[in-house]
Amino acid sequence: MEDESERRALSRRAFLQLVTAAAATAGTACFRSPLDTLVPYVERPPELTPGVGTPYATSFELDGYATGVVVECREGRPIKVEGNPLHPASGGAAGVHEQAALLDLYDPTRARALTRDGEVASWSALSAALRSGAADGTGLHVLLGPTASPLVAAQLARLRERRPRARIHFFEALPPAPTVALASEILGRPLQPLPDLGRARCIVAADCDLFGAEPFALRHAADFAAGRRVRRPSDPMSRLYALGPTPTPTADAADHRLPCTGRAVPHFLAALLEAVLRAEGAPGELTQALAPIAAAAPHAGTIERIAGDLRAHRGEALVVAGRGQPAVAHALAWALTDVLGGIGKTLSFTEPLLADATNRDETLPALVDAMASGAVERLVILEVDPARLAPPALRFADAVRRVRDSVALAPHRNETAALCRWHAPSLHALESWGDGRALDGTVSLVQPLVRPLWEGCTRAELLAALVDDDAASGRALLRTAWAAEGRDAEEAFTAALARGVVEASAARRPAARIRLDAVIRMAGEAAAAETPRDGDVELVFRPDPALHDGRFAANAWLQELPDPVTKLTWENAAWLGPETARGLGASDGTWLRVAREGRSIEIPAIIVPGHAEGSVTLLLGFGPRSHLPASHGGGVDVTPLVPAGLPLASGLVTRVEGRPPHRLARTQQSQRQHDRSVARERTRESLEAAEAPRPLDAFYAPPQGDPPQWAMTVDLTVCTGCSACVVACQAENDVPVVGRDEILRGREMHWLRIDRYAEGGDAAPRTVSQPMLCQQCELAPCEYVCPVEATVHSRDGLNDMVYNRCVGTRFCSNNCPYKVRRFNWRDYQADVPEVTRLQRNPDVTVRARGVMEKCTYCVQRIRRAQIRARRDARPLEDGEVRTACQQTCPTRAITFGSIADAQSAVSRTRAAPQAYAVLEELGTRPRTMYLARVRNPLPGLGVDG
Amino acid sequence: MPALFPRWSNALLAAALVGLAVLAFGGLGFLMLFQRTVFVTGEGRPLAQPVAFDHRHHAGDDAIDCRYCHDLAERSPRAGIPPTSRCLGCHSQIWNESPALAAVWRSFEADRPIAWTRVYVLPDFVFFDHSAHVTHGVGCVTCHGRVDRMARVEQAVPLTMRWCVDCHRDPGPRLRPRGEIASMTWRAADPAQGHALATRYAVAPGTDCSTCHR
Repeated sequence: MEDESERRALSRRAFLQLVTAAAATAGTACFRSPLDTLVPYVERPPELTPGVGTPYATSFELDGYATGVVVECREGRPIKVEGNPLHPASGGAAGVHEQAALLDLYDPTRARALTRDGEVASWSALSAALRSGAADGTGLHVLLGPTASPLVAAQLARLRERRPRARIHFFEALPPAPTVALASEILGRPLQPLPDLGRARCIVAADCDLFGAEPFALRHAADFAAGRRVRRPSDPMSRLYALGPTPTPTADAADHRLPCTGRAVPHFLAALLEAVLRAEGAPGELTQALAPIAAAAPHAGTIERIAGDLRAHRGEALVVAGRGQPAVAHALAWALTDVLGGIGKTLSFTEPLLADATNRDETLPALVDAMASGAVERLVILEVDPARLAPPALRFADAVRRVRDSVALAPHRNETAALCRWHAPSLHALESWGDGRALDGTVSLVQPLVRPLWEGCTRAELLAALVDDDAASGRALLRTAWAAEGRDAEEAFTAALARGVVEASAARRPAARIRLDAVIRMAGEAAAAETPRDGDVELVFRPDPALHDGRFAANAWLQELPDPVTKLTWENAAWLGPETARGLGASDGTWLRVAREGRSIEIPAIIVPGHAEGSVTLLLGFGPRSHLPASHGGGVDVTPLVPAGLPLASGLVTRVEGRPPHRLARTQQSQRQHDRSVARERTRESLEAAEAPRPLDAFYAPPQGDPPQWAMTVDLTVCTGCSACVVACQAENDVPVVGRDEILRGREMHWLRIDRYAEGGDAAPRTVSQPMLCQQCELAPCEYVCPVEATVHSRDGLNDMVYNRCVGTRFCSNNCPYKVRRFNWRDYQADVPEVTRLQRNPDVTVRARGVMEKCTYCVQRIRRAQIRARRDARPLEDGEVRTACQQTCPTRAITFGSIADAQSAVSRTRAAPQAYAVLEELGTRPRTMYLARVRNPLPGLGVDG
Repeated sequence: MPALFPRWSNALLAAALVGLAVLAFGGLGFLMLFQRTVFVTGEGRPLAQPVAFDHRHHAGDDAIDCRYCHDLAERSPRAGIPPTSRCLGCHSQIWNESPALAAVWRSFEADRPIAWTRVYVLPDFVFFDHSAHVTHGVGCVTCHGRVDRMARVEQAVPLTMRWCVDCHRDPGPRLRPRGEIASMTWRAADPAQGHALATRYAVAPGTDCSTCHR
């Protein structure tokens, strides 16, 4: 009896028929391809040169604040996002979100038409519906996310003026601590904090992911890195203490990692304040008031020493609390900075920047109450997704159904859009006019680089439709708002568009005085209000470093971007400390049930050394989505457990019995080095002696070449593992996305990966993030074994990969000690949707199935710069060629150039005492070298804290 | 037992074996040679275009510089196919009612580009940069042939890798002064001049794979 599989198998006869047919058709494949066409413009735009990219400045807003970018356009298609050097939040760098947002422009799942009750509708009908209600705005409610955009702020003000009874609500999945309200209380006026890491030499980051989740992260990372480039023991170096439950890029960059639960953070800060005050000789009643709170501080043994270190850096000390910490932690951090003389130096305060910042009481619960009571006739939801992200206890969905006309502006037909009567597709930032403000107040403009691919409108345009009688275009709105600011000149507007930033628009920084007694009283009240419950585990909610709150779930680059810490892709897991996991009997992939207030989720565990015990970190942004294919709905939606206020809660965590463990799609299986010094670390004191090289005698003679000789160095001291370089490489080199199943088979394609190694105890390991890319070995093991010479050395020291010669033996990959070669197991590029192909870099070959590929040092950029320099009859300057990863690195960890020039930046960094080559004992003579991680621990405190 | 096969069958077997070997190697050789013939390289085949544009008239009789229409050649990887508006820059004044221009007017009025047939087709994994060549003394005619004699443009050179690499190895003989780049008739007076130009223009074309394959 033949079973199913046998029947489907090929018969011998059919096989021979197919082989014959294949052989016969193979013979025809050599002929010329069918005639191709050349399509010129009818009238070429004057600013455009076909074949050459045109850069435009614009900006992206995330969590309310803007980051300036420069986007390269090729024949009208935006193909690459880089940072804007003139913008204070960017300084030339772009993070993962700014860069990957480019892919969202070409997202085929975007909504393409305005719909009403699911049917395509006309925009005039929507305008009519928006204006249909009472003229004074009774029953009109607007819900939006926080924004510092001056245009939107002006429109909200206009809405209040023209429709005085309209109400404006703000929603954010994980709202930050209300620092503006806090400032009103303890500074006497509403202000918002602005840390300046450039002036800080001793920093305590209290549950604060300065280089990741916080606004201004790129700038903070750059400022921090500037104080960490040491070459000699005598060079000054800043020191960072990282406190908090979750290992983050900031904690990884720290000299001392101090894991503790999120709840314990205020206690630690109180103890630190008490120690500092005591040493400063402050009145006894102040320190005594803090004593009860300080008594419960974690890492009590370290506090005196850290306080001493902070005091030794008077005027250069900074204590900063994170978004997820309660107001009291921020108050204590400000007080500490104040006592240490940092106010006005390491910490300034600016006027509030977010629209309606001082009037934030109309939050989501107020809206839901109004809806439930039937008072809401028209609801306009602007680019937020409360149907998915609001706490389920609010019953947002039920309430919306009682609204007569609900309008959702959203890029996709997401949960909120599906719930509302109207769904207006929102335009991508690269299709929009608008503006934004950075955390320091600098205004930047948003300009479209491409006409909308599909119909849609912006926040500003929809708000205008609510207020104004005649519809104005996005540009007209921006231009009017610009003129209203008293800056009428068209030239100034054009100049600002060209530069991307408005000159001298940074917010004023008024002097601020911290009322210490108010802080201490507040700390006392907070301690009294606390009711710890035994047996509960602390739940810490954080936005995913890639998908954020889920708004980037459609983005395949971000889905496949390995988490900076766990290296998990396409899904999330509950992060546990090793002891907590042992207590639960859990290992990687064990299913856990996490319950809070009657709701529970099941989520696989992942053990993260350095995570605080007694605490579990849950990442937002995952889980199935109604508007996305199942592949983009990996992981578990944790929103059912998210509390309404701060993202800290208590919950019960138990093991799910009987459910087979989940296979986690990680790109790095072990974070131990197994006694190989691949990622090295040193202390500042040891820099006197250079790394001892261990090259072996080479069997082959090194290849001869002519200048330039390309080389790269990566400074592990300043690398935070933020992964911006990985996305930059993916965008520049058309690196395919392979999906979760292929990741599980170890087939990820990233040319540049970031390996993370953890050494030392599991409680507080010392970690090193190491960008690993083709090392461009001078004596490359891959080259010896290629039977078809598909990988050969170039005269300028590159290990060239010739796709059209490659026959796919994979010998090169097997012989590569660094495992940086990637093989096209499938035709990944063919899976890319037609519209998404518009993003591809036309200067890079699209690789087919069966071909090996790897980092080329962005050879297309090298050749372009060389041709440009030769055209202008001048020598290529040092620093003129910048690889994509180098260009976007916020901390400037990557240096690239020619070592034929002894004065080049890369030659000088290679001469640093901590420079070394990975696996140099193999005699491969890599051109990519690393600068060992230099730590600056406080003597006597111990690196493990 | 008598032999099953006659004696001459031995000779036949030997001949058959030799014949098979000749066929196998000859077939392979034929395929390799065939790749290099005009049947595959596509040389010398004038292609029909949507507009009967005659280079003989424009480049020859009127002596219009190549770079008047192909204006990007010196600053972009692409030489640039002229936009419709470039044609009408002149032809809105002269010959503006010629029926040969009907398709051009249609393109301009309907704002629809003219889809020209590509004559020079390089494989997708080759990246050629016009500006690198044109600014370093490689004349238009060197690769595109006597366009001023072509009623319909055809591929004048084989565009095989060997053809590219021959010049990259020894560019001197193909170089000319920058002022003569677009000239159709320039001839080197002195055979050594090319090598002098190579030095003067610092021409050092790589033969690394990544020079063209990226």
